[in-house]
Amino acid sequence: MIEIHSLTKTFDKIKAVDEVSVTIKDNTVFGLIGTNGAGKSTVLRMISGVLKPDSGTVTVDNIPVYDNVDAKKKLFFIADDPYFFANSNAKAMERYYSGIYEHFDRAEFYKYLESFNLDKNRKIGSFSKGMKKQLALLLGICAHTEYILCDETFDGLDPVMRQGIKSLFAKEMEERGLTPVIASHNLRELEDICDHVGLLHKGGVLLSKDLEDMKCNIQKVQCVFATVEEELKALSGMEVLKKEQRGSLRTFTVRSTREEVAARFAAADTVFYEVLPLSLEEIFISETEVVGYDIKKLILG
Amino acid sequence: MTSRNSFWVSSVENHKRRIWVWIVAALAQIAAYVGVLTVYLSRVRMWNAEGAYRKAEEYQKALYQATQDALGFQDNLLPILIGLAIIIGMQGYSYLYDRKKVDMYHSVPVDKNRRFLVIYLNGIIIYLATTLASLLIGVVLAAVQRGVNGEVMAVIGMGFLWNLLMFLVLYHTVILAVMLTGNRFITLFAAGTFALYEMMLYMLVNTLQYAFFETKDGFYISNEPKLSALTDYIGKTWEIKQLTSIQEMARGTLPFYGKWALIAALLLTVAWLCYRRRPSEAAGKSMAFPSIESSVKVIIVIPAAVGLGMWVYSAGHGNTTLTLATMIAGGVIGSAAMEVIYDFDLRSMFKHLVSSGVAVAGIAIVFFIFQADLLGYDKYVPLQSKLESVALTLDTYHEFWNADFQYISTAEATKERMKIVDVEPLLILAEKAQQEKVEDMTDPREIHVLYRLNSGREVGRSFYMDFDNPVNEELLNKIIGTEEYRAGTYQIVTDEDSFEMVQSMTYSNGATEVALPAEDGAALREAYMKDLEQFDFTLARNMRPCGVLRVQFPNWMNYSLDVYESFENTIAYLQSAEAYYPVMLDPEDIDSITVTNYHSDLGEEYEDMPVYDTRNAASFAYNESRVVSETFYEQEEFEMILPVIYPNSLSAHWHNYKEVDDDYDIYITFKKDTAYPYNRSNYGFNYKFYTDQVPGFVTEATALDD
Repeated sequence: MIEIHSLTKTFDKIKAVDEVSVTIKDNTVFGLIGTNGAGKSTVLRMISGVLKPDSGTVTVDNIPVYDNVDAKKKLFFIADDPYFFANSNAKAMERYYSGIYEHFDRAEFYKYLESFNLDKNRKIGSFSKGMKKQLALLLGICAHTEYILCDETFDGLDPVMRQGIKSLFAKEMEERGLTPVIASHNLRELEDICDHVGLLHKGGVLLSKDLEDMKCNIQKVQCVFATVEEELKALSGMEVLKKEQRGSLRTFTVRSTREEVAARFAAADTVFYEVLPLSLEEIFISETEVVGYDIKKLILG
Repeated sequence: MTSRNSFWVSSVENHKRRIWVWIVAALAQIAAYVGVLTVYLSRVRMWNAEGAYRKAEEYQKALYQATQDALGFQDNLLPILIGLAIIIGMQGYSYLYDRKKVDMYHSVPVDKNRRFLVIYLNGIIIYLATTLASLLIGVVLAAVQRGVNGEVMAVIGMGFLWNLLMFLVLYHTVILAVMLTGNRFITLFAAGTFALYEMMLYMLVNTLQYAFFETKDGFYISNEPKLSALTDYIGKTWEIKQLTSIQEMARGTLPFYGKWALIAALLLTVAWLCYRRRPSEAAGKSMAFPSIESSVKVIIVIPAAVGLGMWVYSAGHGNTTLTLATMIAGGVIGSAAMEVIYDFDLRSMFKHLVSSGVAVAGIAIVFFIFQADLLGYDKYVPLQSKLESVALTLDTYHEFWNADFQYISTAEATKERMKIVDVEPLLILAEKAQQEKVEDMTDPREIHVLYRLNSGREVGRSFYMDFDNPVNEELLNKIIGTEEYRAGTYQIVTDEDSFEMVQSMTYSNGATEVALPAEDGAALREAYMKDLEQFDFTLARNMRPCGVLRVQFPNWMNYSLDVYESFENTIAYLQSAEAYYPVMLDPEDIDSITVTNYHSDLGEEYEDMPVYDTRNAASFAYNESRVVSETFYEQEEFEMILPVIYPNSLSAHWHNYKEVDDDYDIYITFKKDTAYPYNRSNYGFNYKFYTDQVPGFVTEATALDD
C-alpha cells in the first residue's frame, strides 16, 4: 500500500502540491486525474522517490521512499516523456533495467516485444511517441515491481495498444498483484480501467474515491410526476445533487443506491420514470459541482 | 532470477554510455604523450644528423632528455588535463542537467552513493587507462630509439603522479561545479570561477595595492595564491622540469603531492555532500541550491566590478572618481546580470535587491580601504621591539647562485642570507621616507625591505630615499657597514666552496681583459673580503669602480665584483698577478677617439621627439638629423680627453648618475702595435664624458652646423 500523508512541494515559491493525502491500496488501479499543472506529475515523482517532499510523507508498504533503495525496488516509474539512452535499442534498455531490477523477466519482455510488434534491435530514437510509451510500459511491467507509476502514459496510444496494455495490467494484477497508478489529465482515459480515482486540482485533492462506490451511490433518474406533491414525496430525505427540468420531464442526480431510488420512484405516482446509468464523467461532474468546482472546465475541456 | 545488480555491472553499464569520452581521452593522451615524444625524438635525431652532438654520450643524454620532457614533466599538458577534467566530469554527471534523465536515474533502485562512486571511478579509470596506455606506447617507442633508462622511468613516474594529482584537483572542481549548477554553461563558468577565483583575487589585491599604496612591494613577499593548485602547477612544472637530479625533483614535487591530494579530497567531499543534498528539480536551472544564490552573487560581483574599475583606473590615468563610478556601475549591472542568469529571465534583473545592495556596498568598502588606505598600509613601520631582523636590497646588480651553480634571484638570496639585527637605522629611514616626497629628492632610489617580526611573520615594503641626503648617507653607512649586509649581498663572503671551483678569472679596467690564474680563486676571495670590510655607502657614492673582476664557475656561471681604488688588498693581488691597469688610459696606446654628440638638449627646437624619462636615467632624445660625430687622432687631443672619460663597461650603481654626460658617446680605438693588453676581441671601446668636463675643442668640433 502506498500512503501519502500531507504531502507538500513548492517550486520557486509556487505550491505544486499542497497537503495531499491519498492512500493507494494494493492490487487496484489508481487513477490520478487533474488538469495540467494540477500536481499529478509532482505527486508521482514524489511517490517514485525522484523528488523530496518539502513536508509530508510517502511510504510504500510502510517504507519511506525518498533516498531508499528498498522502497524503490517496489516501484517502477514511467515519466510522461520517458528517457532512453542515446542510440540505444530495446535490448540495451532491457540489459540496463534487468541489471537494476532483481525480478526483471527478460523472457517475458522479449515475448511482449514481439506481441506488440516492437523490434528489439531498432534504435529507440526512430520509434514513434506511442511506441516509446509501449516500450516504457513493457519495461515497467517486466520489471515485476509491485507498483507501476504511469504519468500520462496512455496518452498517444492507439485504442488497440491501450487495450493490449490494459489486458497486460489485468493479467499482472491477477497473477502477482500489480498495482498500477495512472496519472492523466483526461478522465475518459481512465474510465474503463481505474478502480479508484483521486482528483487533483491546484495541488490539492478534491476527492479520492472508489469508482464502484461512486457509481453505486449516485443515480440519475428521469421521470414525469403526476403532481408536484408526488415529486416532493418521492424526493423527501434524498440528497439531490442536480436537478434539470424540460417541460414536465425532470432529470435528477441523487445520492443513493439504485434499489432505493427505484423503490422510491415506484412508490410515487409517476407518469413515467427510469433510472439511467451514469458515466464516470457525469459522476465527477456531480461530485465536484457539489464542492463548488466546474469540473467540465478542469478535466473535460 | 539472478541479480546482476553488482557494482561491476553498474560500472560497465556506465562505461557503455561514455564511449565517446573514452575516444576523446585516448586521442588527446596519445597526441599529448606519443605525438610530442615523436616530435622531440625526431628533433634530437635531426640535430644529431646535423652534427650538433660532438660525443655519443651527448646524443644519448639528449635522447633521454627528450623522452623525459615528453613523458615526464611536460609543461604544455595543462590544456589537455583541463579539457579531460571538464569532459569526463561533466559528461559523467550530465544526467543531472536533464529532467527526463533525472526522473529515470533517481527513480530506479540504485543507491545514490553507489551511483556517485560508479560515475566518479569510471572517470578516473578513463583518465588512468588512456594515460597509462599512452605512456606505455611512448616508453616502448622511446626504448626502441634508446631513449629510456632507469632515471628517465623514475621521472616519468613522478610526472605521471604530478599530472594525475592535478587532474584529480581539476576533475573534482568540475564535479563540484556540476553539483552546484543545473546547466552546462553555468557549470563551465562555475568550474572556471572555482579554479581561478583565488588567483584572480590575489591579482586584484596586488593591482589595488600597487595602484594605491606607495610602499607596496612584491620584491621579497609576493602575494600569491595559497590554495590554488592550478597556480602551483603553472608555476612549478617548468621549474621542476629544469631540475637535474631525481632527488631534487622528488624534493620539489613532494610538498605539492600532499597539498594537492588534500585539496582534491576536500573538493570531492564537498562535491559528494552536494550530490547527496542536490534536489532533483535543479535539472535545467542555473543553480542547484537557491539558498546560496545571493552569496555567490556577492562574492562574484565584488571582485568583478572592482577589477573592471581598476581597468578603467589604469586606462584613465588614475582618475579615482571615474574608477569608483565604474565599480559601482559594474556592481549594479553585475548583480542584475547574475539574477538574469539565475532565472534565465530578463525580468529578474531587479530581484534580490538587498544582496545587490550588499554587493555595491562591498565594492565601495573595498575601494576606500585601498584608495584611502583605511588600514594604514603605507604608514606601517614595525616597532623596533617587535622586530627580529631585517633584510634589504638597494640594487639588484649582485649575482647569486645555488649549489648547482645556477642563478637564483637577488630577493631569494638576500631573504635567505641577510639578517641585520641592528634594525634602528633602517627604521629611521623608513620613518623619514613617510615625511618626504619623491618629487623633492634630488637622487631618489628605491629600497626593498623585509621586516622579520618576532612572531615569525614577514612583511615586505619598499620606499624611496634620497641618496643625496647626508642623514641618509650616515644611516646607510651604518647598515652597509654591517657584516650581515655583506653576508647577504656578496656571495663571495659566505660561499667559500665555490671559490675552490673557479674555472677562470679576469680583471678589466673597461678596456683590458687580463686573465688571472683560476687556482688563485681562494686568494682573491680573501683579499676582496678584507677590502669589503671598509666598504660603505660613502665610498660607493663618491668613488667609481676602477675595474671589475669576472669569475667564472662551473655551469657557465659568471660572477662580477667591482674593484675600487681603495681596495688595497685586491689591487695588491692584481698587481702581483700583473693584471692591474688604472682606469685612465695612456695616450700613447690610442689610435683614435671618435666622439658623437647627440645634441639631445636641442630636441624641442627641432621637432617633437620622444623623451625617455626614467627614474634612474637621464632624459635622452635621439634624432639622426642632429647627431654629429668627430674623430680625433692627435696626441694632445687624447691627453685632454682621456682624464675626463669613464668606461661604459664599468658600472657605478650608487654613484650619482648625473656625473656622466649621456649626450656624448666616445669610441676609442687602440693602436694595433701597442703592448697595452686591451681586449683584442673588441674593435673599440665605449666611454662617457664626466658631466661638465667635455673639453672645449670637442664641443666645438661636434657642434651643429647652422
